[in-house]
Amino acid sequence: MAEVKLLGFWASTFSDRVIWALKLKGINYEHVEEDPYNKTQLLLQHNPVHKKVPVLIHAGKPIAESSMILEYIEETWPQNPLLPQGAYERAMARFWIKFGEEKMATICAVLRTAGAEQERAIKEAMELLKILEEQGLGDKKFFGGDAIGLADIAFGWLAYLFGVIEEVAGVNVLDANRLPRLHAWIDNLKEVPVIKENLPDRQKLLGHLKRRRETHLALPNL
Amino acid sequence: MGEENKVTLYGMWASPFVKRVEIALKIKGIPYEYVEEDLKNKSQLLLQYNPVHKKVPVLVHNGKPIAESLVILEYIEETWKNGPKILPEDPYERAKVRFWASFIQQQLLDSLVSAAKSSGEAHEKAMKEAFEKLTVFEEGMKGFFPSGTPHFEDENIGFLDIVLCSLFGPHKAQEEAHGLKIIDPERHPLVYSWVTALNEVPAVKESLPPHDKMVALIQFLRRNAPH
Repeated sequence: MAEVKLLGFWASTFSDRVIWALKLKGINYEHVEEDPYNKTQLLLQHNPVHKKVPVLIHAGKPIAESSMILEYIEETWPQNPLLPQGAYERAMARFWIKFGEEKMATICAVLRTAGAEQERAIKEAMELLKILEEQGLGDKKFFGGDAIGLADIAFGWLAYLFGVIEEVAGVNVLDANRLPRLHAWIDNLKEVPVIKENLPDRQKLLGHLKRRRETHLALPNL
Repeated sequence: MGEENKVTLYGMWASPFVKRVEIALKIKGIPYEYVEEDLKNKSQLLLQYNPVHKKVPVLVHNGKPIAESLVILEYIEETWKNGPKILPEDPYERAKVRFWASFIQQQLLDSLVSAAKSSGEAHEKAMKEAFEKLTVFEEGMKGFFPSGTPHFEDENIGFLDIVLCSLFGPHKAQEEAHGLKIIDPERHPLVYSWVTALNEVPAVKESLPPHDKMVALIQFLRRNAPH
């Protein structure tokens, strides 16, 4: 099998998504850890447009942007399918993945804000998560149905990263009483061995996000 | 048309996102019913079919609604397997096409929208950014057209062509309304010739919004934009 390399960063949830997908499909790969403040030539050469991780390099060919990498992995290695068979169900999965991409910054705005602005951010985040729970997840165990799929992988950050964000920001958004089904989904997701065994160190993440919040709040209000 | 295989597209005449779906349906030869929405007075059906975003386009196939233009394009490709293919077969080529479609949609469009909404120094800065992104796109596309000039015989247009012409097909109207050059044949000759060639393809030409109506709409939106 041709060589598979992943350029990633331990704190990047976009990187984690690719790791989960590769491991769920049992694909052997080499992990290259990137430092965002000191990017390697390999990264700059293989993602010249965005210069970001993750980048998957398969048989020398680079693919950037996590959602595109996930689709590529699904199409190239069909074992253990991560998208449903039916075109309509696939469209639904893609719809929610796009929703997550568009709304992630808004949901995570609690990290970058304080005071009245943060209050607004909390309210907005809760509304979006309510929509996600009611319309996206519904009564299913996973977004993918009985087994995890690309949409679950794309929302994986809600299961670990968001809890750390809430702690750093001193807020409680993803409340078990107000979002019970999403909470149950988080528990189910964290039981999946590939996810459980491939989460970043919580303490390390806490420190990393604390510094991020401090930097954001120190910026002059534009 | 019977209920089986009934396709309805909810749209708005000036929306590039709707155009994409129209062009794809035409390329594939899929018969459909078109419903024009008044975005200031959205129909109950639209709100029911797209409760999350309440936007057009929505494609309803056999009673099931799909929203988000790029998601709809992938659905069309996977559902109607006869007829021309919009996406390449090879996963790596598909990834490249999706990458550049996303670049146009997210990076390039964002800069142009910022430029259109701003004035003075902010506008200059936004236009500079937009031109830089267009240059990145122009360079990135050279590999797609080895002969140098885009040709589209037999309407063999694909995903990236559709995304590009949906956004920039009406560039002359956009340029007239905003009073600035967006796709300059001297700065970005490949993109210019590409968009021009695409606008000649029947499915695209038919879908192009009428020039004067488009100019009027953009100018109206600019005058009435919240500041």
